[in-house]
Amino acid sequence: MTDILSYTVYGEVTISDILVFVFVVVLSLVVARLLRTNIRRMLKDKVAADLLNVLEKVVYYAVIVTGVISVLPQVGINLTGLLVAGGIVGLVIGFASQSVVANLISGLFLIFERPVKIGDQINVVDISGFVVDIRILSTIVRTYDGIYVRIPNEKVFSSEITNFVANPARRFEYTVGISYSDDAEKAITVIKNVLEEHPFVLKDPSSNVYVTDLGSSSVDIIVRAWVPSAVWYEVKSELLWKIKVELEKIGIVIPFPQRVIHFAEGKGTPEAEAEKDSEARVDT
Amino acid sequence: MFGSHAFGRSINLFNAEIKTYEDAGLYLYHRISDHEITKVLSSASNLIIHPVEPVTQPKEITHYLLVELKKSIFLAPQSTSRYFITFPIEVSIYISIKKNIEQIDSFTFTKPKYTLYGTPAHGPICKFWKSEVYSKIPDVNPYLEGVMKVKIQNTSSGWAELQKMVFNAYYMKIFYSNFACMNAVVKIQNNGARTSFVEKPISDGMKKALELYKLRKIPIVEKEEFVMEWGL
Repeated sequence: MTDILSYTVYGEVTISDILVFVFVVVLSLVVARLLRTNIRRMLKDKVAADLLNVLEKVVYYAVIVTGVISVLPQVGINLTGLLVAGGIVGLVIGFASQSVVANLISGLFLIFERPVKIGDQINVVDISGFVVDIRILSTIVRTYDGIYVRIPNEKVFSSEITNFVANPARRFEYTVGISYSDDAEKAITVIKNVLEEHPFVLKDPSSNVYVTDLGSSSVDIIVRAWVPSAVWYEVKSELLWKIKVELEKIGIVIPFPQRVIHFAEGKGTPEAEAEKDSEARVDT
Repeated sequence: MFGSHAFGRSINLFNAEIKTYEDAGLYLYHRISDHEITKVLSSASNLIIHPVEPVTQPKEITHYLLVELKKSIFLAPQSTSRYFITFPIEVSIYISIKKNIEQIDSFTFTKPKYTLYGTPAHGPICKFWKSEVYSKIPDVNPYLEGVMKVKIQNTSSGWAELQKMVFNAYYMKIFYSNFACMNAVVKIQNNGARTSFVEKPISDGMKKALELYKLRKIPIVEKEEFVMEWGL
């Protein structure tokens, strides 16, 4: 048996070397498959299907290539020259593809850290909109006015990301000004009723409605309401008008900016001015 | 009220009238309530009217129902009690041909409201409902309220005060006869409570309503028991 294993096939390569080579290649195949299956299971619900497919393939082939390269000297293939050449080529490619690698690594971090998900509404590098796709090198955003924007993952990862829907609930705020002659308590009751009647204004956390400022032209009432993030924009855009309509129904008006001018008694009236003129004529 | 209805019939449900009829060669479904809806059916299909998981109206933004109790329940340690509470009714209209069933409409006569269970950073948005606590099956308006039997087990070592219950609609099992019902279990533990459903009606002779999420064939990854970790 030992004789057979030490039988030289070519050069210094024996049958046992070939067996070791075959074993390592098979082992790397098995490990690659195991890793691929586990990655699929772990990331099935976290990563988009097409991206997961790419990731699986990268890991699968990387394990196989590493396994095969590591065992090539066993079958007489010397990699020293290849490594030197590969090192130089790698250096050149490394410099050339610096940004690609940076984007790739950032993409992987984005996938695992998940500050944004597909469908989220975000603001990143001054671009606001819906996340359409998170790819390995870039993130695709559809802006609110329907424009396709591709943002390199490196920029997304290193910038401040505002995710408008990451939390289940969001608050919005209006300031409603009413006239000084109107009853602020009545107005607050009406506004609270409007909020109570709206299904999406959350019961908890509760809304706040109170007089916040005695302004130059109006008594300012602040309205703060929490709504589910998913419907935040539509509720915010709908409620202000409803509040205005309901306030008008009870005779409360939103005042225009105004200035009250007081005249001293007699002074400044047309009659007083005319009298002043006639006195001046008599003097002359 | 609930059940299967042949094509061509007119059905009155509280404030709504539902009609299916043929007009100029078209098979029509028509609902008249606070607003009118008309849909064209490709064939004279039977209508199925069932109570549906009460989280779909006015818009499906959550699959949780939070029932706040008008009177909180104090439960002795290591005890089990049974109570009846109510839940909001939502009506779903399905069409069926052989065994193929499709939802075509849903509505509610109740006033919907939502709330947050937890903090604005965590915890789910829930459909909100306020209920009295009863010791026996209450008389309810079947168009507005269903009855939920709740078995509450306090497995903790101290007294527990229960003010609200949160249920996952993915696992709701609704039954109906002349009213709709559900059968739930609330297990109170030292660190919160777990809610789940039992696939059993609260009285004999009730039929099982269609399960919306099963009908949609949505793969559900969530656990069957909802863990109430943000307070009772």
